[in-house]
Amino acid sequence: MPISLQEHTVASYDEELTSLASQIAEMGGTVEAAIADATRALLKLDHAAARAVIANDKRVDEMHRQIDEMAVSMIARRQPMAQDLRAIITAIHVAGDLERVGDMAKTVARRTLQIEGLSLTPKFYNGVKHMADLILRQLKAALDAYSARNAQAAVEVCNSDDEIDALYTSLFRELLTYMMEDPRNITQCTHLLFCSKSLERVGDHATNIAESAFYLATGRQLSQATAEELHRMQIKE
Amino acid sequence: MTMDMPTIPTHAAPVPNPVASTFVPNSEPHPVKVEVKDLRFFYANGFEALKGINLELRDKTVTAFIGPSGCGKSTLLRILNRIYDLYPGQKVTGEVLLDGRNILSRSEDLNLLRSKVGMVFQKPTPFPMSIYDNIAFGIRLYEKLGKSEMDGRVEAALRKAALWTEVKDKLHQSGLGLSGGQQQRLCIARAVAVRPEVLLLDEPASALDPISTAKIEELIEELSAEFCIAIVTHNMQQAARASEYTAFMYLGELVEFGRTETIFTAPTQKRTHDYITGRFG
Repeated sequence: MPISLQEHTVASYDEELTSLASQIAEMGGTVEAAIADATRALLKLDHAAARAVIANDKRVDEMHRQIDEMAVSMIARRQPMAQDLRAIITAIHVAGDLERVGDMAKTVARRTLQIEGLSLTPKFYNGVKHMADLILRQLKAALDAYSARNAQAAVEVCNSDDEIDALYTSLFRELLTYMMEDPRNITQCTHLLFCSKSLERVGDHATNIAESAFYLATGRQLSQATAEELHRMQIKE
Repeated sequence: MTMDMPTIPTHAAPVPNPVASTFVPNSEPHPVKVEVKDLRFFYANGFEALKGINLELRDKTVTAFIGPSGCGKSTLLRILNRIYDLYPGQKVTGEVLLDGRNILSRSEDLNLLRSKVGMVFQKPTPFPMSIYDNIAFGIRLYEKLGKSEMDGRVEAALRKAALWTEVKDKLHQSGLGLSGGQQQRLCIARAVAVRPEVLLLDEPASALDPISTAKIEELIEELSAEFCIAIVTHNMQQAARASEYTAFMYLGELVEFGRTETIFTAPTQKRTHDYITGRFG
């Protein structure tokens, strides 16, 4: 599948496509920071930091709106084809996923504000911290695959989503165990459980972004068959 | 300690997408009507305008030819009804099979061929006669009909070209008095009146305003239920809108041929890609 680096005859079209890509990159960086900040605020129960995350989400929504508007205007004025059409359509999808990731950061931050008169014990939150680290890695890898139009990297992101799901399942069991050990743990463990659910959803959005990256790079949907195919290819190499 | 675990839903469990695997845009492709085999074309000065073209046009299907000026797409169309025969010194090799018969063979009856393969050009070319006679003229070449039968044929052709309601009260006025879009539809009516099997359209809408263009495209879609249609167009969006198959030609070669949605979303050749996305041409 050709990815052409040649420039358009109409230079302003290239400028718009570059601008669209950099807006996605900027939005990606912003929501990555939001997830990292929201997790840190939760673990330290830092209410000021949590409020900052909530306030910043307005900026993410604004970026989403701008990317949508730009994409719609480009479709109307440029009648994009092939690679350019895929770049614009996937920009709409990716911006939507990133906006949802921003919402998840806000959800975690809101929950942080609800936790009062409690201090979280490291024994309880280490699992959540570990999960947040893993999810940030996934999100970053998905965004990198998208901006580099790297199909193979995109497949790797999709394949490692199982790891997050497994981690969430074991975290669920772990927190449940603490709750059963001592009912006084129930409040903080429940808060952590809801937060880890939000983080798990971020992982799903990272997978969606990786799927968009695959489509952008190849023009094919990453159906189960092609994923397995590519996975086999990677094992062979 | 033992405990009963609630079932934990696995959210990202891969669910095979039944839509993706079963969705086929146009169930069964229609049978091949025209088959072009290793077609080469030389102008009188020896210039090779087509360099070994192989492709198939399916019946009741619209195939679009795109490519920059001088790539040979109009030349190819002109070979399909042997208009090139009108110019001395031009030479063609290879085969064009219409229902399996090689129309390039010297023994083929040219008039019969042109009744089977109709053509419409970029500029509307109505004859300087009445609307009625524009249609009847072609029919008279091939058939002897009584007046009422002829009236019926003229009306049917005009209806097929979506022109009837606009001209039914002025059939005996000159065809030249119609608007550009109406003239072009008159030419299409003239082409379909002799009941061809293949319809060749060379830039049929490039001289028309957007509304007339839309009418022509609507007409092409309707006519594709009956004819094998080949359309040359410089308008990429038109090719994308109006055709089921698209051929991209460049410097006398067929670079890529495939389903229109594939060509315009994920072409396999870099030259096709660069052309349709506006990176050259």
